Amino acid sequence: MATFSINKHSNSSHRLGKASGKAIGLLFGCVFFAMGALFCWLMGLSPLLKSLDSNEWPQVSCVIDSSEVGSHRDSDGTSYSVDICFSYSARGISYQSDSYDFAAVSSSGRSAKAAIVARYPVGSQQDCWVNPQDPSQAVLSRDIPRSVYFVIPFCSVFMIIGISVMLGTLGWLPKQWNLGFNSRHKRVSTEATGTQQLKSSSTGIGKVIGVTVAACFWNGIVSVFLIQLVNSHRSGHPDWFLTLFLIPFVLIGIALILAIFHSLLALANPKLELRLSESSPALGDRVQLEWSATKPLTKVRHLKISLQGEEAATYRRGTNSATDHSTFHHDILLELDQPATQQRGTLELCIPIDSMHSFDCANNKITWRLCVDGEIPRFPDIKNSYPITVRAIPLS
Amino acid sequence: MDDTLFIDLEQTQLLPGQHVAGKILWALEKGPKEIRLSLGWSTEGRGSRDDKIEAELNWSTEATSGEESFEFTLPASPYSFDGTLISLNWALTLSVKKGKATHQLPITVSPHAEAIALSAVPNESKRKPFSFLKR
Repeated sequence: MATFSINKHSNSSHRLGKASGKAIGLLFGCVFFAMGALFCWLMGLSPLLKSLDSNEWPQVSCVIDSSEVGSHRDSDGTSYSVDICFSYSARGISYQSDSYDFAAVSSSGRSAKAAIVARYPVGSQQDCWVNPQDPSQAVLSRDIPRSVYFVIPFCSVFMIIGISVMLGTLGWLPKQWNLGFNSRHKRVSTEATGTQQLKSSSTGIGKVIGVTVAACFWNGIVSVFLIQLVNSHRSGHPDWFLTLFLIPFVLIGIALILAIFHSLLALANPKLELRLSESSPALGDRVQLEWSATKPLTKVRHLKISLQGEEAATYRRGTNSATDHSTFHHDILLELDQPATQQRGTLELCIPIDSMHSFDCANNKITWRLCVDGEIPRFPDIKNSYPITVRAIPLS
Repeated sequence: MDDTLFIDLEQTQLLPGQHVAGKILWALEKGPKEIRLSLGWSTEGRGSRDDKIEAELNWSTEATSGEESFEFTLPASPYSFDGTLISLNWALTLSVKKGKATHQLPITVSPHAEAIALSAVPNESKRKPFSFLKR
């Protein structure tokens, strides 16, 4: 005879899979970050800091012992380096150095290296700069190596990906950034919650802070190179390569600064307060929506309140995640061409009975929201959304 | 002889909260040790898969053939739906502990007898970059 038992599962399966996924995520993020940081330090930051530090190094005369373009052949092709050996004296002791500058890598492009080598013929007397702390260390050029301009941004991408994966795996990223692929289902409440004022998904302050941090970070890095560039122009030896190279980076920096002002101006926009007679309506419900503006709507040319239902599907794309959206319901509840004449109002909202209730899983979501759009000429528009939970039809 | 598992259910279009009763039947070469019937849903489509087993019934048996009756009460949500990006499908799944035999019966859980169809509509409210400069 068969014995019968029943299990209720309050959560998804794959707990073991989740733990191993977390370990893999942490390991992947850690390796990505560590490799990025290591290469960033060795080939970017270390040469950059040494170059900046060498401004205090004393200048001494030296004699070029050998000068040639070194070539290095490997599976990726041939790379070239400036191989110059020179002799100098410091504190009465003779030294020999083979460091042209602070670059730690060879690179493609022979002609630029050949031009440097041509400036340092064997037997010629030149100037070099000697480290006062360690006189055995000397260079012929204190300029920031050009490889630094590529290495730091390139390695930073790896570091950002690595740290994002680690934070995402640990669940320390903001919810809307979360890369969570574990199967988490949050069941929609079956209880009505009554009259409530709806909260906007964004106050605008977060955007100001985000854009300001991004602008400071970006312009902070760019300014290091910009100071170097200004100095080169002021000294009468402009670095035209660096000038051309920096133009797009500076333009992005300016755009980010403008974005701060744009987001600050948007803070001054009037806000709409929305109050639903039932803040978690069920499918088929008719509810009252009261709206009122916090400031006069005199500058607003066109105001629209709409109800939207949307599918949101998150999926992996390589090592990143992407979320696609598809709107399945869009109902314009209010449209005013002269909103200045009307500061508040009430309207009836009907949730379609043949549609889908809110659904919240780790990767797939059905979301409902009230959207407020206002056009303001020559000013940031009003764009606010107020998420609502649409319940399933109550069981009779 | 092939291993056979079968779920006998009168109707597969069901209402949320409905009481569901049916039978499972099995005919196997070896004793299954345990037969498991699970009620659950899973998503498919553009997004990575989400799934959940809402309830599970187990029968411990060494009989190579037989039948048992089962009863479930369906939860109030989620509904079966078929959208542009996501579909949510409910199913009853019968499996054995010893062996690979399995049988799945798709069911529809919806107040309208069929999966909710969500078709894409144009959204004019999507953000237009630099729109404030055009006026």
